[in-house]
Amino acid sequence: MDLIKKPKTKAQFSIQFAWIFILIAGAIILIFFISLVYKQKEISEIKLSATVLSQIETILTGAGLSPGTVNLIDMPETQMNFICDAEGFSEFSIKGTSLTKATPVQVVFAPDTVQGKRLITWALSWDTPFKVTNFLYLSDLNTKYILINPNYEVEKDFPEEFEPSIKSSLDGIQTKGLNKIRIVYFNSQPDMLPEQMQSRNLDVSAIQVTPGTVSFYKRTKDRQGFELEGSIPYIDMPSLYGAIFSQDLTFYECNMKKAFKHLNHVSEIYAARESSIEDYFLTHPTVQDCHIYYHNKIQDLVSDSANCSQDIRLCISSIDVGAIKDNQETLIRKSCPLIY
Amino acid sequence: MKISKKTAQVKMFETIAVLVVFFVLIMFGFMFYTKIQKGSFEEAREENLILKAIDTSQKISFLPEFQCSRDNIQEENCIDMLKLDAAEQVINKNKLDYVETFGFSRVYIQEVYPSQDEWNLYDLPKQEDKGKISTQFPISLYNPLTDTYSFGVLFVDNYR
Amino acid sequence: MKNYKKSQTEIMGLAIIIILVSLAMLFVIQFIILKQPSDIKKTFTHKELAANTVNTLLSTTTDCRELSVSQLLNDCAEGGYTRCPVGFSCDYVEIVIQEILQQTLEQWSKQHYLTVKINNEEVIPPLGDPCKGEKTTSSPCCILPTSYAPMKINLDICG
Repeated sequence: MDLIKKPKTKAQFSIQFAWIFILIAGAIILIFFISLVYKQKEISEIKLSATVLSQIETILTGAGLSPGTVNLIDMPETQMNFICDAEGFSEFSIKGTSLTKATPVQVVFAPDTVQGKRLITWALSWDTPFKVTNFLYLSDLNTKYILINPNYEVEKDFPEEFEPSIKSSLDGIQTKGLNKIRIVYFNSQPDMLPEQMQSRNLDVSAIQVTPGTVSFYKRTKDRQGFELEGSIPYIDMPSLYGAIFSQDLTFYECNMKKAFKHLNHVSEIYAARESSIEDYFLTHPTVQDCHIYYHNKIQDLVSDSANCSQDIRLCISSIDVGAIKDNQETLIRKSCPLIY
Repeated sequence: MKISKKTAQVKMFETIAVLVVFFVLIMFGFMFYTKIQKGSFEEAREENLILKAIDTSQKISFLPEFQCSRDNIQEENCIDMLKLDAAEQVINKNKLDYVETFGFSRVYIQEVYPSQDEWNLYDLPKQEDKGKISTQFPISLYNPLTDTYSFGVLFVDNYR
Repeated sequence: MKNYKKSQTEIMGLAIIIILVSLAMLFVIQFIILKQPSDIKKTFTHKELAANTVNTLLSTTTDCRELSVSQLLNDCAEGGYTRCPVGFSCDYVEIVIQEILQQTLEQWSKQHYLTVKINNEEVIPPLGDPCKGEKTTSSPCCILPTSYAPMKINLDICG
């Protein structure tokens, strides 16, 4: 009897051990492959984000090179964050990744977040009076621009790709599917917000445009109205549009400082160029006496732009391009080499 | 009993041997895969550097610091010689502001015809010298004083 | 006997696995070795180089009465009667183009072939040697209108 029992017990034991062994080995193999798959998934996501970042950088460069154009760009569903702060630190990044791209030179006016499958870009040449750089304006389809009693120029120029609402009041505005609303008041004060714009999930901000000045407003804590954040001068239409597209006053100011820094470099080059032309005609006189028509007005622009790149509130009113333009007109009439 | 013990041992050994071989194969496969990935990363890096060189040369020809213009109408594929003279100094004085545009590269322009002039606009080498990728870009050089065009070449050497 | 068949089956199984793995590795190796390196730079830069060289060449001002290369080519196509520091417009423009190409494409070891034609008739003799293998052309760039027919200036960069 014992002899029969022993092999049966031994067999039972060996089967159990075999199964335990199978389970452990199987579990180890499964864990190994599953962790490999997750690691690959992570790497692929990082790779995709890096590709998206690099493509967006190329798109921004390309869009910035073609002024006057509006582009609708399809991209993977991502959220991009834009930063331009009071210290001049400027970058954009893809949410959820550590991938960032510094933009110390590019002038990009955008909300703090741009998300969705479509990016809208608009580029305008900034001329003061010669071309300095291109301003790039970015947005998405989830951001609404409401223009209250805009002037003719803005109404005509504002691209329809941004789907602006041109109205005399905030009545009847649909907010479904929107993440952000930017209200632009032309010559009127911001008023109380209708109920649908008081939602906590909606980022509503406003600016008030008066001749030469733009005031930034943020929503009050009770979300029913607006409180003034600050006012800042603007010098031309491209910079006004910059205020419309900027997230807030700080963002706008930071980008304008970048623009003025670039203006400083470009105007320095033009000033030296004008000086060379004047010196040449002093030693090579012409029938038209060209040398008497170079008045070095650009030199004032060099110092003003240097000041503006530090603090634009103090200097912007002193920027005078009229004198340079008049000088240019004279040179055209006299058939002398132009300043720009 | 002895035979079944030995059979069991052989079977165990066989199972373990299969597992060992399996894991060795997996290991080889993984090493191979990692090597290929490393190779493709290197290739991607090289390609990115090449694209950066092309990108830089394209940007330069559109920069207002260099580009020819007549009454603010920009002329393509043209650099103003008087601007070049001034740009040399301005860019070197404000090098940090141009790092984003030019990166680690050397940018210079040579006049080929009729004269042989050279302008060194920018140079920011890397600490380690790992060579460079050169791009040449024929470009017109305009002299506003004589209203003439010279044949120039824009060189962009991107450091690896 | 049963045991023999069982172990034979098992060994067959192992052999099949090894064959499958070897085949897979063979495919992978083949893919890696035969994959062509990206020549994005070459394609783009040769195209840009060809087109930009011709564009820049055409706008270059020469010492022949301060006429540009395109103006001299036009004059050459219409008879070549303009006197230049060396010969007439046809000879002079050929010298200028030759000089520029020598200091640029030839110095960069880029084999090239430049032709200037009106209705397939050469305006000036071709410069360089025709490309034998791969080439990048400046076309469709660079067509100059003349009083007869459009003048096509074509630059091929070999390789």
